[in-house]
Amino acid sequence: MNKTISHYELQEEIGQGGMGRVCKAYDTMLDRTVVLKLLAPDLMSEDESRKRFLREARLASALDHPNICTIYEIAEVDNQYFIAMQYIPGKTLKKVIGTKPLSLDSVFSIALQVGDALAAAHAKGIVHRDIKSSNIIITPSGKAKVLDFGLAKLLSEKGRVEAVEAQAEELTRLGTPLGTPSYMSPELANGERADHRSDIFSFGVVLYEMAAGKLPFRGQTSVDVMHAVLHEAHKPAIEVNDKLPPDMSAIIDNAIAKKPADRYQSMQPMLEDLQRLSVALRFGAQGVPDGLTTPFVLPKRQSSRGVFGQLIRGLLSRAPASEAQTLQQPTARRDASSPNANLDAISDASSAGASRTTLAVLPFRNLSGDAASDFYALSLADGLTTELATIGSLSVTPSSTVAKYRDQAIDPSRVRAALGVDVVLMGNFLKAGDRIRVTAQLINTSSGAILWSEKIDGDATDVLAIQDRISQRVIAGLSGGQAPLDPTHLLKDENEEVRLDAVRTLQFSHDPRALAAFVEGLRDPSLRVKAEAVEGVVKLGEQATGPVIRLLNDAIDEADNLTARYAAKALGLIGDRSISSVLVELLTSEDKFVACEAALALGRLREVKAVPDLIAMLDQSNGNIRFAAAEALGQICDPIARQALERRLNDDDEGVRAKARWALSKLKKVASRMAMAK
Amino acid sequence: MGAQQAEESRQSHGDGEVNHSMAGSEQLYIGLDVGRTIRGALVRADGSILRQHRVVSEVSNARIFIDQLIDVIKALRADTEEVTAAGIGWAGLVNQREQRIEVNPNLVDVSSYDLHAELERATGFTVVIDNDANAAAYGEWRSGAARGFNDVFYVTLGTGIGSGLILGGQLQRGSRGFAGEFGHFKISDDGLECGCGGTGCLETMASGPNIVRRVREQLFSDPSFSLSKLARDMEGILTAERVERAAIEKDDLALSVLKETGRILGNAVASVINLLNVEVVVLGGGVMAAGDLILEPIREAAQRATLSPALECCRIVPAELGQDAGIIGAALLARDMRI
Ligand SMILES: [Zn+2]
Repeated sequence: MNKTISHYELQEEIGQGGMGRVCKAYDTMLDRTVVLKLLAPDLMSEDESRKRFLREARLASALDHPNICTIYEIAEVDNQYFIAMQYIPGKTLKKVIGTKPLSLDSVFSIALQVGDALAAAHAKGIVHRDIKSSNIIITPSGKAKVLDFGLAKLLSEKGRVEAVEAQAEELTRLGTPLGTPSYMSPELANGERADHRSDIFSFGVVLYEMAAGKLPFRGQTSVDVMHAVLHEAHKPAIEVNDKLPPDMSAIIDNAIAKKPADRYQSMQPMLEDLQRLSVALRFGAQGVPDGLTTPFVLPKRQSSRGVFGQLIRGLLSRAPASEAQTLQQPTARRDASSPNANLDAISDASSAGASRTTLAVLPFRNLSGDAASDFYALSLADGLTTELATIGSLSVTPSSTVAKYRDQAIDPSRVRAALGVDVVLMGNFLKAGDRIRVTAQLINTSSGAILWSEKIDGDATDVLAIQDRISQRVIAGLSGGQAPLDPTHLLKDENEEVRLDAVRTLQFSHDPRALAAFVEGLRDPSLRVKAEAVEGVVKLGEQATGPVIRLLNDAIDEADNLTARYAAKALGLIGDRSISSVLVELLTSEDKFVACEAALALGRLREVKAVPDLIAMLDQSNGNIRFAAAEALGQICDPIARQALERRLNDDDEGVRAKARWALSKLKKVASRMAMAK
Repeated sequence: MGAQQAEESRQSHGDGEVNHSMAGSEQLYIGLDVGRTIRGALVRADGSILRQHRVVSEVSNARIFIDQLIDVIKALRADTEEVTAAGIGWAGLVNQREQRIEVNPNLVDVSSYDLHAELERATGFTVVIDNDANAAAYGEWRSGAARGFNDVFYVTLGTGIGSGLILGGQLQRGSRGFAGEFGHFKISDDGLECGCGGTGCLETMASGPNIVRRVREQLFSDPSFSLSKLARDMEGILTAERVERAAIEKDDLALSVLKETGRILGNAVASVINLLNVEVVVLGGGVMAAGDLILEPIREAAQRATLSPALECCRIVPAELGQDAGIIGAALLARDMRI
């Protein structure tokens, strides 16, 4: 082959895929073998899709996980885009499986490794979108490595169809169902928006394949396979391989449910189910029976149980302890955040004490903005306090103590510190004419999880009926017997105030649904909701960067400038250093506000590598851009910027002048401090 | 200083309305306001302007700059024989003891020249050089908003913030002439770096450029402002003047920043009132073009922060001479020195 790209000497071609050629190569600079993916030129032809792809891929390249193949570099030489990644000797999982089921300990070892990789990526907001057994390499020592994170997007929409066609050809050529849409989630097959649950589906298919030695959805052509994915029920894995534990088969069934809402809602509970099952079956702790498995050490995780589990136990002391001790049966609709999950998670009943749950009912917030209905704020809370106090297992804080929380933004953890309560009931109301709508939420003050939330419409003259309803729900909510209303539904309310309040409430909670809700909130037509969502996202920190980048990309695609601006602002304020190359990319955004936010963010990160781009921005005609660049350069304080900033002292724009003067003062200060240090 | 004695003698007349024209021919004076531009005027003894002249300052070469000054003075004088003195209001520190200009980062460095002697030699006039804010204060005192008062605090809010102080009927310059640097009042400990080398100076918040800076920052801190009319202009060139116009047109972004600026200025002004018990505070300079939109917040904040007996005998008023305060004041400084 004898070709060189950048500092890579191409060696043998390993494959040819939807993205282009894949070659083994030698990195002459770092003296190591790498894999180069040479991206087909037509994939990178459109400017926007290229930028978008580069952003996503750079984001994914920040993933650092032992079970994820490391991406070293994404670059371009003479219009040839390429990705340099870790070379991993080994076989694809596809080859390892062949046509026979793997041994159970191999299944668990690989499942836990791949599951952990997916959970880590999802926590960063990165979705793989193309999980399949040929994208997982098993090294000779039995380590699993997931390939191509962040790259599947390249084959999105139009590209995906072409890829499927190309794969169909491959199917006939090779005679094996390699690269068929067998792993594609139904929502992806339908061309719908796919989130992390799509990965859960594909992961489920891989599990099935390992456990059964066959794929759950099959067909002669890719069209047949897609039809099966979309419409046909799979044969449970246990019917194909009768040695399989029924719980394993059930975990798989859950993961490959057709509707995303029927699957595990996140990797965490699925991984926990796999771990529990593996421990119960005494796998994972044993040796390496078939040469494939590495002993898998269960990663230590923060438990979502704890205090709440204990307090709930008091309420549930009637339930037989044995039930809680048995291994959890994976059930459909497992959601880590639902109260059911909180209750399910009590697997250790040894410390079951008969402590009473303490609860405070906070004054309800009046969203009507009309002082005449203010009295509902305390009367609702009062009535509920009285009513709930009659329940033996509850200890309710007297309303006189909580009255001071009236008209305050309430942080449940502060309430916990002040009142020592386990749960707070908080909410708001909107009164219009004779009707009143009450929104109430029950929040665990230690985890911040929203246990239950509901909107209740009623007659304003019959507040008692509303109180009854709420107190019934509170009791049901505490015992987990009530399917909760997803608090994120409140974000779809037609009333702006309700949406705003929902975002505020989520800000204080640590509810796992908050991130998705905030991202939705950034799209909200109301600027107030958008601004509140920015705060929410920023509070969540780095875990939010992935979803926000995706939102930003979507908003840019859809020319939704305002959403793009708020998303860029949120992204910048999170201050995640690992996305600084994404931010540099954004400096050239068409929307100048987005570019400015990126510049400001790089300034806050003191990102020295952005300095040349920022200096170039000082000469742009847009005043906002020059201003933002001067601000960023003043933060970074790289002396290289001095001359360019001095030119700005004569800028026609007075604001740029002031900012440049400030930046130069900072540079001077830093320079003199350095001189003193010498 | 001669000028001060002159002031005293003028003050003994009781007000600033005395007719200075001599019998037969009218006395005229030249006033210059020197900053990024050189503005000059031929001024009558009563403070009214006969004609004006203006050039953009040379910033790279001191020699050319000084020749510019001489040329402006000569152009204003033209063929009028009645001109006898010129006054210069200088945007920067002026050492009054030696009539020497200190280094100024905003203008070309003329500190190595004896500007005073050179100008007198080249023009044949008596020349007096003072800080530009002092000159403007003098103008407002002798023929503007502070006429008839004995204790005056004048503030000019523009590219920088300067002030002039008249106490007991005398312009106060401090021991060397550096008094009145109101812009470098430290208003916060953790404030921004200032061009003077300090941090947290009043100027870093309330000068014209810093008002524009804060407007731009406000826009970034709240993207909803990107819908405002002013935000569209911000893609181009923004000036304090444009911000003020936007405030008058009820632009929320401009209004919120001006209001905050007023609060900051009002607090600083209150400190001066508390310290010096002046009768009147005169606020001038380009930033005051927003009128009540900035004046009211200044008054409100000053009222809250001033001891009430001091407040009761003090008025806070806008300047009357506008942009001409500096040139008129410089000319009147020259006039009063001649007497
Ligand atoms: Zn200063």
